[in-house]
Amino acid sequence: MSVTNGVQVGAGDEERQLVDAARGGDRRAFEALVLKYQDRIYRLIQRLVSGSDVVDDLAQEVFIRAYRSIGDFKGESSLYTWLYKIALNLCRNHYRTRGRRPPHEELDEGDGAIGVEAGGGTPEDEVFRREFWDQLRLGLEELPAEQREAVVFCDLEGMSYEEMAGVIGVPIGTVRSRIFRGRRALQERLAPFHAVNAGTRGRAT
Amino acid sequence: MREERCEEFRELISAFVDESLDGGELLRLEKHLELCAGCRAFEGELRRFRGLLQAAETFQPLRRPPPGFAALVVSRIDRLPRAQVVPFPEALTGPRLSGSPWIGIAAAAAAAALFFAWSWQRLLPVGSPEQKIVMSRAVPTVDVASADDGSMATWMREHAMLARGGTLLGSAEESEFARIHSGEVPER
Repeated sequence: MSVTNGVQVGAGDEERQLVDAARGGDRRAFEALVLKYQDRIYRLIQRLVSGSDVVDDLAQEVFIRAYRSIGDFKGESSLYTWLYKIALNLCRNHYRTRGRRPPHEELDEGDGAIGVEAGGGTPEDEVFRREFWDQLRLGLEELPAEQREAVVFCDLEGMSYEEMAGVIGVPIGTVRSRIFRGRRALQERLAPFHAVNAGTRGRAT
Repeated sequence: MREERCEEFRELISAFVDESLDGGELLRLEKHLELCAGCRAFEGELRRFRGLLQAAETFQPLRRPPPGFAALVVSRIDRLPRAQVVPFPEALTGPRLSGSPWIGIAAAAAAAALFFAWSWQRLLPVGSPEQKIVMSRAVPTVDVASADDGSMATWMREHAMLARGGTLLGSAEESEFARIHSGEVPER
């Protein structure tokens, strides 16, 4: 099983050994597991919640919860699926306790940026990218939580419907419906950018 | 009329672009797409939109964990209280006991606490509130880490209900525990 991030996530022998050692209280083994999954968990949290101020705390909490409960991890699903469930629940709780953020909050770019750089282009290109990104973040924020999660898992995390059903804990048909409704709502919000991307730049500004 | 019919296919098209459609639904959709220019256009728009979403994060790169993140997590773990949560049935029967000193200690503590509770409830009047609450400790646990709020709420409700009803007096775990601690069978 894999996702588009290109990380092989099958529960191999080495990972099983690390999990067993971590269950036995081996902190170094658990640290190795954190190192393996920290980028993915960090990315997922940024995709699910707005506000860079909470990402560190939530990501740390994911792994601390995982450590405390690693005895409950049966290996029936992959470790990353289990970690994703923990991250998802923490993000849901964060949304509930924090309430909706005011609009127009932007993510900090931070020092440790990853991903492909914008790649030059004209100043107009840069404006387009920033505008699109801001509107996408706002659009995701405004979606009902279950649709936001479905779109993030499918379109940004590149998970299969089966994987999503396992992480979210709903039937595949429900996953399908949530993705469709979430995409449709986002499509409407981002329609001007969509038109620009289709080769008619200039109409979105 | 036609639009209503097309609307039925839009969700299928969404799954189709994710390559998550098969069987009869796939055949039905492919047949419809052959005949319907509107739905073919919708499919094209959806594919472009999906590509745009996937490209979006190259517009505004996400942050990486700060250097030393994993070590920081481990240092926070080191400062946690030593007691670990051990699901009740597995504390007695699970294979994990052999590999972990801390879990072993926690399991022993849990077993001692349960034995105390079991002994205590025998001294209480049958059906007393205290006895019912004690016996509810044998309710199977949930995976707190990955359980969502709804599952936890359900578990809490069931827990409270069982506590009120005291219906776990004869559970297998209780019996096994009692037999182990009365010396009838060796502890596994």
